Amino acid sequence: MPDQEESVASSQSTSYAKFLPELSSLTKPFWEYCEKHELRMQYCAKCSQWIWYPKAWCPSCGDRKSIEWRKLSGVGTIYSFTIIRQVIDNSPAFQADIPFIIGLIELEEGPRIYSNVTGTPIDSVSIGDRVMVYFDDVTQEISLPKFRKY
Amino acid sequence: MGLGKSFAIIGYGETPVSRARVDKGEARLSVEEYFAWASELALKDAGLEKREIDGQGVGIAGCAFPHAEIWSAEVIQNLGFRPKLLLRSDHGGMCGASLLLQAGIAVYSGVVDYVLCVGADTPMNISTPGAVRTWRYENDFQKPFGMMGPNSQFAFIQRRHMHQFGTTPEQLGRVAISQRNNATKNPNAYLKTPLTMEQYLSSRLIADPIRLYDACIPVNGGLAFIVTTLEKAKRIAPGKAVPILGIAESDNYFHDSNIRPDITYLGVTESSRMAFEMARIKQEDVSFFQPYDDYTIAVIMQIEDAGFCEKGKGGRFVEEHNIEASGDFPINTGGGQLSSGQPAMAGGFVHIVESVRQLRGEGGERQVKDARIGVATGLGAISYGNNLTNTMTIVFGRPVD
Repeated sequence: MPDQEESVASSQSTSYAKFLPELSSLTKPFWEYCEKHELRMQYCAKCSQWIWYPKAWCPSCGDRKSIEWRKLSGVGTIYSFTIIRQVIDNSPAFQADIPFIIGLIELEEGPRIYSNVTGTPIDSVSIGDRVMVYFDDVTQEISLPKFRKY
Repeated sequence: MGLGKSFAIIGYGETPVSRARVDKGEARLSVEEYFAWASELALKDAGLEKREIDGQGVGIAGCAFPHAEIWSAEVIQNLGFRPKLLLRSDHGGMCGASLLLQAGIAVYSGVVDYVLCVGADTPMNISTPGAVRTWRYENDFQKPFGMMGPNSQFAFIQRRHMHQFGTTPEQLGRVAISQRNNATKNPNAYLKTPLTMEQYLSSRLIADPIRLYDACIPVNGGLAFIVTTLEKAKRIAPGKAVPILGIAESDNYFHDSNIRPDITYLGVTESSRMAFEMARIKQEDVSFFQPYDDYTIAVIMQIEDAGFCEKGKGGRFVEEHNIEASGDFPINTGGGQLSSGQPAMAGGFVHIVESVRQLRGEGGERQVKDARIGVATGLGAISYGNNLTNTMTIVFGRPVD
C-alpha cells in the first residue's frame, strides 16, 4: 500500500484566506483523521457500503449504529475534472491559483471525492489518470486531502 | 381516473426581465414588486379578480435574493392574499414544476378550486458574495477545494459526457445558437442578438469545459400561473385552458450505483417515462420540448433521457435536427434560460409558461406550427458527486373547449 503519510510543503500560514469547512459532530472525525494525514470515510458494516460525504445514517440501509470510519488507500483515478479559470462566489484568494484543477476522484475502494489535483501542468490531466492523496496542512485544525498524479 | 388530464393552467404571467443595469436604462425592481407584477398578469390572463384567490390556494417559490427561511408568509402578507392552502417549493430550478404538481394534487383532491403559483427572484440586486445560503456539502466538501458553484459542478458532468459519448463543443454551441435564434423572436428575452459559432467557441472558459455561452444568464423577473380542475377550466376559460396530460417527479436518482453513479444520466429518464405513461403518449407525439436549461449540456442530456434519441446521441441529434421554433424538433422556443434569462429560483417557471403560450397559439413570431403536445422539465439542486437531485417532466395538451 502506498504511503499516504507523506506530506508536502504546506501552504500553512497564520492568515489562510480561503474557504474552510465548518466542523460538526458529524464531520469532525473526518477532519481529525485528515489532521493525522489519514484518509478515512464512513463505512456501513451492515450493508457493506462506503458512505461519502459524512452522513448521519447509512443512506442505503438506514442503519445508524453500524457506521465505522475506515481507512482508504488514498489511491484513485480521475473520473472527471474541471479547470477553474474564474473565481465566482468563493474566496478571492483562489484568484492566485488560477488556473487550477479540481478532479472528481474515484478512490479504488469505490467512493468519489472532489479535490484538487496539483503538481502537474493543467493540460496534462485526463480522465482515467491515477492519483494519490497527500495532505495540505492549511491551518492548525484543517488538513485538506489533495491529490497528485501517481 | 387519475391525476393526468384532471387539471389545467388557466392563466399565466411573465414580467419583463432586467439585469438591473440602471446605467443602460434598465429597471432595478425589488423582488416584492416582481411577485405583485407576475400575480397581476396571471390573474388578468385568467380573468380572475384578486379577491377570488381568498379561500383558495397560493403556491410560492423559494427565493434566494433576499431570503427569509419563512418566506411564503411574507409574500402573502405583501400581496394581501388570504388562502386556505399555502404551498411552498424550495426545489431550485424545479420550483415551478413542483408547485404545478402540488397545485394539481390540491385541486384534484377538492381542497381548493384554484391555486395561484408565483415565483420571482432578483439575483441582480445582490452584490455580496456568499449572500445565498447553500448546502452544507458544498460549504464543507466543495468550496474549500475552490469549487465555484454550478459552473464548476456542471463542468464535471459536461466533461464526462464528452468523454463517454464524444460530445463536441460545436454540438453544445448548436444548442446555444439555436436557442438564441428563438430569443430573437421573443420580445421578453434578455439576449436578442444572434450568436455565431465563432463567438460561442471563443467565449471565455469559466470552469473548463464550461464556457460563458454554455451557462444561462441571470436576470431579475417574475412568473406566475393559475391552476384549476379541467372541469372548471372548461367552464371559465374555454379554448385557452391548457391541460396537464402527464406529470411525474424523480428525486435523488442515480444511474447504476449510488456510490459510483454514471453522472451523464438525469432523473429525467424516470420522470419522463412516468409522465409519458400517464399522458399515454410516445416521443413521436411531441410537438416541442422545453427542457430546463441552466447549461447547454443539460439540454443534450435531456433529449437523450426523455427518450428522443439513444443515450449518448444527443450531440448528434442537435446536429441532425433543426431545434429552433420553426424547426422539425423545436427546443426552448422562447430562448430558454440560456437567452431569455434565468430569474434564479423562478427560472423553472419559464419552461411551463412558454409551453402554455405555445399550446394556446400565442407564440407570435416563434409560434410552433400545429403544436399539439408539449413537454417541459424542471431540474433542481446540484448534488454532491452526481448531477441534479430534483427532476420532473410535464406533458401539456392543447387547450380544451
